[in-house]
Amino acid sequence: MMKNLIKTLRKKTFSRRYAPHEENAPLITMRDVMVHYQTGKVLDRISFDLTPGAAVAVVGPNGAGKTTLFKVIAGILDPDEGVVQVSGHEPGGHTCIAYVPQRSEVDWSFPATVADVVMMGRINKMGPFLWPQKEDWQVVGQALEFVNLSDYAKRQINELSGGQQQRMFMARALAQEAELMLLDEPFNGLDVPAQEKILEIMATLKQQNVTVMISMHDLRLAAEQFDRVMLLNKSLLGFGEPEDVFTRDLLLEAYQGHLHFVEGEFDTLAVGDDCCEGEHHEYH
Amino acid sequence: MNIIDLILTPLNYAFMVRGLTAAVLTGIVCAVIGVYVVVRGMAFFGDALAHSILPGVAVGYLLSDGAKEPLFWWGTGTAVVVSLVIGAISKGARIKQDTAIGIIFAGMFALGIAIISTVKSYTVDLTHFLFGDVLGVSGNQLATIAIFSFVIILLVVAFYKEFLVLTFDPTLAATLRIPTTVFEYLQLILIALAIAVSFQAVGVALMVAMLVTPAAAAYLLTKRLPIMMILAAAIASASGVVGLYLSYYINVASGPAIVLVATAFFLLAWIYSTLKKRKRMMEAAQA
Repeated sequence: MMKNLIKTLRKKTFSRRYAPHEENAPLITMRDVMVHYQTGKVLDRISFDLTPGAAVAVVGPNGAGKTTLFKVIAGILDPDEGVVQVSGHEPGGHTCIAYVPQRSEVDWSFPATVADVVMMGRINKMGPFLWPQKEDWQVVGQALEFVNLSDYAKRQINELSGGQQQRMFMARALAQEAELMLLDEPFNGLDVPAQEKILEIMATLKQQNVTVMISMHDLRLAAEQFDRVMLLNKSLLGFGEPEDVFTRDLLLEAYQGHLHFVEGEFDTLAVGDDCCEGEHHEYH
Repeated sequence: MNIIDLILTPLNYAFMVRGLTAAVLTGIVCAVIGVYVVVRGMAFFGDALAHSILPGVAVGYLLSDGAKEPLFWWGTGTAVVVSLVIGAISKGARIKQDTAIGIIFAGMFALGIAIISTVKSYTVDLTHFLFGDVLGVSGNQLATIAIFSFVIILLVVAFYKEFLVLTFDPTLAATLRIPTTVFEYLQLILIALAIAVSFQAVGVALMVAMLVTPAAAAYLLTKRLPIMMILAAAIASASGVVGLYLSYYINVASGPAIVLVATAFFLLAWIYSTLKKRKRMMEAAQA
């Protein structure tokens, strides 16, 4: 009996670690995914397929379910209904997905250096009971070089600027050898040069067939810099090329009364008031 | 009397040697575990858990007819059970976590004192339970303390990376398929064990100081978790030794003496880090 107990415990603890990847399966498949919180419906019958190697912008008003969607994909949150598959298997079995939280969710006073945090991405690559070895620190060094933070490896994490903090988490995702990165509102509070650095890293990642999904508020940035956009407000209103998704009708449906259109000489300006700092959303 | 005599004289007493060893061992264990207590903001939980072991100890005290050794096991059992109960209640979240902890803390502490007060001449033993009696540690008790200290430190080292990720970023722990619930409860059990081990040395009332003060001092001096643990252990050991010598020479109760020295170390660390910060700001302003 004891043997059986240990066997089930082991299975429960370790079997979820190694989900294989089906060849030719889409990276993410969702079918009629529903999530409810106590406050009500957060995700309403979401269905889509995503092929690898794309840069996807996830946009929608505050409370549209962007973070929830990411957590379902990462396998941290189980949907109440529907099917989620990552590379043909349920999401709980994958360590190839990196979820990068919003910066406001992180305890920046934690006693850790930048290199320590990046190392955290590798811990399930190390054997049980082992501390990081030389090879692990080499991977961390490479990941930091990739995001251009090598000089900051030994700094305490609260000494970084917002953009550097974001790049540190991208380095951690690299150290994790992630094939899918979910970045939750990385551009919030960043100036344009800091945003551009992140977009540059994203472009390089795309060449290496790493898929990146980024939730954001800036519609113009989404339209200009991303292959695909996902327009979300509890249900999935549109998913595809920006010009097909960012139509007046769909945007109005997503943002409802919170979006106003200003006709310009060459393009149309969509101004939103849903976001915190009176942010302007533009589209052409 | 020169300084060497000052140091050596107390060591002629076996109780002093045992007390010093116990103070250093429990200091190290509490400081290392206390690092997690400090970075996770669990000081109130630690304080409450320490007080909640009193009823267990009290029952053991009644049943064992005044013998001290069984009290360790009663304390350990109670600490582990209470830590798991508080852990489970925090997950249920019908009431706020600190409120739940407050209710259990006060209720258990009152129960403990009520049980002890049924014994006629209870004040001396109650004082020891509350404030510790590190100089009364027996050889057997010291052996138990040593074994448990070793096991606790071993677990902290063996699961260092799991605890690190769980403490800093539970979401990452979940995406990396670390069994988070198992490690969360293991962390609570380790805090419980550290408290049980240190019960004889510092008592329940001042336990929280052993958990948070050296760790908080170390926090001000370093930016890395493993170094914070080593520094906290060093500060706690030094506090134990200096505190006991002070208690020997100026005749103060041992538990409070140790805690006061640790507090002094914290103040020094605080002054040092403040001056350093100010200097850095001045340099930045000049540059």
